Amino acid sequence: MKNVIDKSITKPRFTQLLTAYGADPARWPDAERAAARAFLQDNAEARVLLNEAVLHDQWLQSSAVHRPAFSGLEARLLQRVLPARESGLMDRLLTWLLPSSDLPLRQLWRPVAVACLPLAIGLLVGFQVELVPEAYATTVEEELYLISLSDYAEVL
Amino acid sequence: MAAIVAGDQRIYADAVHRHARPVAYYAYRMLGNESEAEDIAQETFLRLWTQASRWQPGKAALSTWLHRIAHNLCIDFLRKNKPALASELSDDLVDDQLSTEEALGIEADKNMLQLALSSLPERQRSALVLTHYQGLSNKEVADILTVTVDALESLLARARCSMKAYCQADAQRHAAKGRSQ
Repeated sequence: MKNVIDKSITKPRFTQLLTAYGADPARWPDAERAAARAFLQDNAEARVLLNEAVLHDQWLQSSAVHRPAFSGLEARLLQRVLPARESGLMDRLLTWLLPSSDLPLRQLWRPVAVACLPLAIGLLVGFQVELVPEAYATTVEEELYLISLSDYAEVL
Repeated sequence: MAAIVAGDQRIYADAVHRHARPVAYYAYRMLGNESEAEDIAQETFLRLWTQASRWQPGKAALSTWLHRIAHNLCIDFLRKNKPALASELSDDLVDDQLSTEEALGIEADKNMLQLALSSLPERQRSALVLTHYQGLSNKEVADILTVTVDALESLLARARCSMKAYCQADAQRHAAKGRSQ
């Protein structure tokens, strides 16, 4: 194919690159830049297209774009009184967990309490939850009786 | 940023000095109005102060994050205040607007590009301004607009095609001016 220099760049693709990103290769996608440059070197038609894109870029960059000076902008921004910061849930949790205090004991009791919490919950659940309802619970004698019945059934 | 989160106003001031102007220029090119652009910059930096902890350094550079805030503020502003500008303009409308402006004899030298920019649908305008004028990478712009890089390419292509119509009209106007002098 005449229009294909690199496998990844064809004339339509090169035209698309110019249409979307303009003539500056720095703006072309990294993955296609080298191939597009190679295509450009070996294709006179591509250079004509590039020159058209250069003109368009120059117009976009022209001094016709009025850009205000924004003089003193930074000073005005810094003069504003900064409001209280929105603290996230995590920040508030950490502030509660590690309060700033001169007394070490006061700093420690909350982390210790939080660390003990899973243990306390585990113990509570262990004592409270009844794994087998009492109605279905069997005594040791009943278990032995049932086992002996099953042995008798096997003999029969 | 950790210093800003911790309330260090000196670091905050440093960020203002480094990023305020790019943010204000972006807002100006989106809105076409200096005082509105400054308001957007003010709000962007207030959010930097109040919501600094939300910035995730691994995900985006600070400038990208600030541009995203400014972009969202600009879009909100356009939708609230200028529904006509924010609406999707067809190519026909762009041409109509151009000829009307020309007929009115507006100082096109100064305004042509801003007029052309403001005629673009807001996402196309953002894509063009962020890549062409703000110098952000395609990946950064795609992140700001929450689109894929392929979708960004499509936005840019449509934006530049619309702008080309203005460019050609501008060239014709200059040629006509040259003949008349």
